[in-house]
Amino acid sequence: MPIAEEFLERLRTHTDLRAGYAEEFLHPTLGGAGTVAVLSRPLGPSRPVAFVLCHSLGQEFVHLSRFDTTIARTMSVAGFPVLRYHGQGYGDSERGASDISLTSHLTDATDAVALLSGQEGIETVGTMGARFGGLVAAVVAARERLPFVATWEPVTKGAQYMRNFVWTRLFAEWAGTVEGAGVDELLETLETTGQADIKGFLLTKRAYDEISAIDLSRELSRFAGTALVVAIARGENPGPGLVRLAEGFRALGATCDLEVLQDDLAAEFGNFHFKTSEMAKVDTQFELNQAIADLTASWALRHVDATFAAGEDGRA
Amino acid sequence: MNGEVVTKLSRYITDELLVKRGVEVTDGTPLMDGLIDSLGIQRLVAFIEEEFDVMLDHSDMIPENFTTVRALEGLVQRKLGGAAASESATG
Repeated sequence: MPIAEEFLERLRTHTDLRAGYAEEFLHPTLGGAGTVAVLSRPLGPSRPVAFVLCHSLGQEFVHLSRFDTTIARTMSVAGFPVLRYHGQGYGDSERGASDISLTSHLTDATDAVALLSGQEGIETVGTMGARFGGLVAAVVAARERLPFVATWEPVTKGAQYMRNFVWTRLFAEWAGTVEGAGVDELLETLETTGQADIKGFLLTKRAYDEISAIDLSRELSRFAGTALVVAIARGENPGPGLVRLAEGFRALGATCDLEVLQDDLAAEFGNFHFKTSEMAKVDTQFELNQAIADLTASWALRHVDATFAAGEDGRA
Repeated sequence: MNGEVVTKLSRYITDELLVKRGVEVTDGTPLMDGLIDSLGIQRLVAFIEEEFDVMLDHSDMIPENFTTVRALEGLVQRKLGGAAASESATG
């Protein structure tokens, strides 16, 4: 049977006329190997700034995928193209999970910035990301001197993130949800075999060591653009780590908005967030995701318009 | 007991971590009897490290250190004392 190439070609794009965005499915080379990416664009007038959406690590990549989609589409409807992708070791990328590291995340994101910069109608590129993806977005924005970065509950200290990552099994045991956490055993496995399974994610010793060594405050020495830091909390106060991050941005001469989005299930951000009732499976973060996306689009509209009205080209 | 440490811990747990809202958290309230879940403990660890500028290690991760605000305060004080001792030894 002949392959209907024209038909297949049509499937490379998806248009939502009612919402006002179109998505194109790409097969780029990022991080030295093939992978898949989705470029969301506005159906209406496009603004000159586009964003690369950096995904998070391990299970957070899965748990935040719906969030990433909401962000990309909402930003597109507001006029900002967004590129999201599967980094090497994730999803439909060519390489395996053992290749995942801080370096792989940074390389993939940097290549994605270059890819997006070459797309028609895009003058300037910024980065965005949640949790570990936020750390990646901020580091790439600083290293590449990008003008805009948006982060949601970003990881600021790699060492703390990795220790918490390993301790999740222990905490679950204390809370009575699993038995036999065996953190010592897990760390020994990581040390002796060079890798360990953590909640279904293959964490390598290389990734553990690399991520443990990064401190975002030391990586931002060059960022002088415009930043958004979003804290997701039950109460009205952002965590001390995010307060320090925002102060760090400002000390460098950057403009930084620190916003708090209050949600009763704030602790679930980046974690499993579905609840099964008798009738249906409910995404407990559906509304929160949209609220974060709306806040981010509003931030981008405010600052991008101000930057370009001032006649700046946006480079930091 | 250090009142400031206890106040900060109690306020954070009450505002951010309780599985069921409305419970009054005193320094002796048992936290591990369903008051905080595993995601809450994760956030609590991050809060302690960021707020008090200490680093917890694997040996600190025993349930006894997390049973009550009083136990948490003891953990923070030991870490702060350890940090001060280490600074004076190197300085």
